[in-house]
Amino acid sequence: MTIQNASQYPPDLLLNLYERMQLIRQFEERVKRLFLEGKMPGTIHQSQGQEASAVGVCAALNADDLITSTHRPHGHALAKGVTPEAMMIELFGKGTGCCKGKGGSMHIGDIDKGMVPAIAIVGGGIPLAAGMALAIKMQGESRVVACFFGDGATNEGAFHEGLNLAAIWSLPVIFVCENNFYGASTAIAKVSRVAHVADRASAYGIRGETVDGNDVLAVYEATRRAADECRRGEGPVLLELLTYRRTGHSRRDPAHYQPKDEQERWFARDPITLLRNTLVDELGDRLDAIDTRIDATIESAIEIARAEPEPTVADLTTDVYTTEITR
Amino acid sequence: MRVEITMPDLATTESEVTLLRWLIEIGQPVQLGEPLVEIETDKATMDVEAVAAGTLQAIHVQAGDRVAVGQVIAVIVNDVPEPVAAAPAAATPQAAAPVASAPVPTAPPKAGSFFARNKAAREQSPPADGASISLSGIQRDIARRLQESKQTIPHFYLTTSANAAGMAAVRAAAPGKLVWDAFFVQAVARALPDFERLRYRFDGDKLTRNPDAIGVAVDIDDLLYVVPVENPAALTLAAISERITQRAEAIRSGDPAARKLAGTCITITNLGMENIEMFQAIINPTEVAVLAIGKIAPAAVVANGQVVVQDRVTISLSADHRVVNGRYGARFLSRVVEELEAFGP
Repeated sequence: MTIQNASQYPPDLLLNLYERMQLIRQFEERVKRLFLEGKMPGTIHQSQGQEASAVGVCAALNADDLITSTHRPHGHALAKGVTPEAMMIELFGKGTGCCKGKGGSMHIGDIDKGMVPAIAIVGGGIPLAAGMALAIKMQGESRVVACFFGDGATNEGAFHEGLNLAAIWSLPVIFVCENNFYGASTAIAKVSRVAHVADRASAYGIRGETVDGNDVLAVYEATRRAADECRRGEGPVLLELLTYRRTGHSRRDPAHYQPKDEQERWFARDPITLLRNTLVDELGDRLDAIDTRIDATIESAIEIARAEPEPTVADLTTDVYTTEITR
Repeated sequence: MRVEITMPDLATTESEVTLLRWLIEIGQPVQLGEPLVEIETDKATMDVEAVAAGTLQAIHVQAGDRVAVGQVIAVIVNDVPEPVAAAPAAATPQAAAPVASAPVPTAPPKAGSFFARNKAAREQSPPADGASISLSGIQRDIARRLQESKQTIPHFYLTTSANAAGMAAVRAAAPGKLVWDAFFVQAVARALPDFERLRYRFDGDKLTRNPDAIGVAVDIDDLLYVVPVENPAALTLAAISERITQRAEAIRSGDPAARKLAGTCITITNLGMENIEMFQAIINPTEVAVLAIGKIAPAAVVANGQVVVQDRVTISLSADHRVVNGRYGARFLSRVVEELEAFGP
């Protein structure tokens, strides 16, 4: 299987999309191993299989556009340009990480790259994205906000409130639903009678679109259209990207609820394999070089992260509202 | 290089997991990312992938053992050179490590965090010395469900007996060996269409339909499982029997799919082979009833004014009084008796 119409795009763009997706996949795989080795604390929510949605959306945004993310944020962060080093240091809980080691996996982010620290509360980012877009609009800027959330968030009250508010004020938000068909272990069909999340857009009088979320170019195009609309004051837009997790909800979840035939159907349409198959004839050498470079980048990020200093007890009282502790 | 494989933190609320079985044998090659061992956490059974390639040199934990997170469970050796200038604390005294020895204690987690202190306190609690027996995740789950059933479902019990001569004759004439449970599954399946209410469960302010499958309780390694027989009304005795045997065998061989709970409306539980004449069983939620089968034995009964000797079986229905009342249950049980006595070559 390959992606149609890829030849219309400049090779550098295609290679860049491939590199971003492969960086996410290899980063996640390496973090998984660190977790299994007991070298990474906490549980982690990983995004193997969903790379095209993160990369396709972020590639269509400008550097100063903003994103909000979820409990499954590694892919979004890497796609928006947070470096693997800064992220790895954060995951190791070191004081020099992108959130000073205080955020960890589920609150990773870097506002300088346009990513507010990830919001792990399901649906929690949706009203915040509307608020950020309101600030952009009131300041007369042309930036947009892409707000990532999963299908599980679409039955939260925050989804309704955030979309409705953004709609009545025509706010520049692209609501990006990564529909991987399971809210943790619950199939979406068990919790919604609406066949497509995008259909819900009509309830708010906004445009909705369902997109093949494993086709990075389809995601890129859909996001470009949506971003243009938002910048023209015709937002918000609800994008539904159909994709699939190659891992459990968290590292502790073996995903037995994903039927085998469903897994096989989706794994055959793996977003990275799709793009690789599309490019391999013309650009095979450069793809291989990218893979090698990514390996080295990630290993070096791990070495740097391991050597970074642990946070100190004194760090406990920084970045908080008061440094005075009353007894 | 010698790589110590430790148990990853895969449990949700517990600090321990149960090792179910090794998927690679000692001396066999292991690929990076290949499933190495199957474990059971408080929520699920899952495979743990190897974090190093090489040869599995030693295992420190056996199937069935409870394992603490971070405990060394195995050693993989490979050709990768030892890292130079390794941190001194990480150096492993290679000669001192006997193969398949007692679990190797690991460095305690950094003191300080609430979870770390809790875990340390748990690990310091006295080891099993006969004063207590630790329960696996599945054992605790079964215990919790049974307690919930007995405490929240108002059970009532009805007991009667049936002439088993017809069943015995069919069984003796059958080409293969039929399990006794198959007769009771088929009899219940034939009776149920006229007793629809037994296909519903109590659900707060309403009754909710249960699946049509009939369950058969099996006790495997002291754990209780319910084997579902789907669409039982359409199956022959031989097919039901085979289904029960195969599924029990799959559970015994450790197939996680076979161990999963499936929806059933009524369970057959049988202690006849243990010489029990009759007993009353606890309903398996979310079912509405359970049918307990005693042993088939000759008994003196009065038939047509004559005392005769007959092979008989005592059966006992436990039912949820919120869903059915006594007379309904009694009529159902009588119908099951009719179906049992209708068997014949």
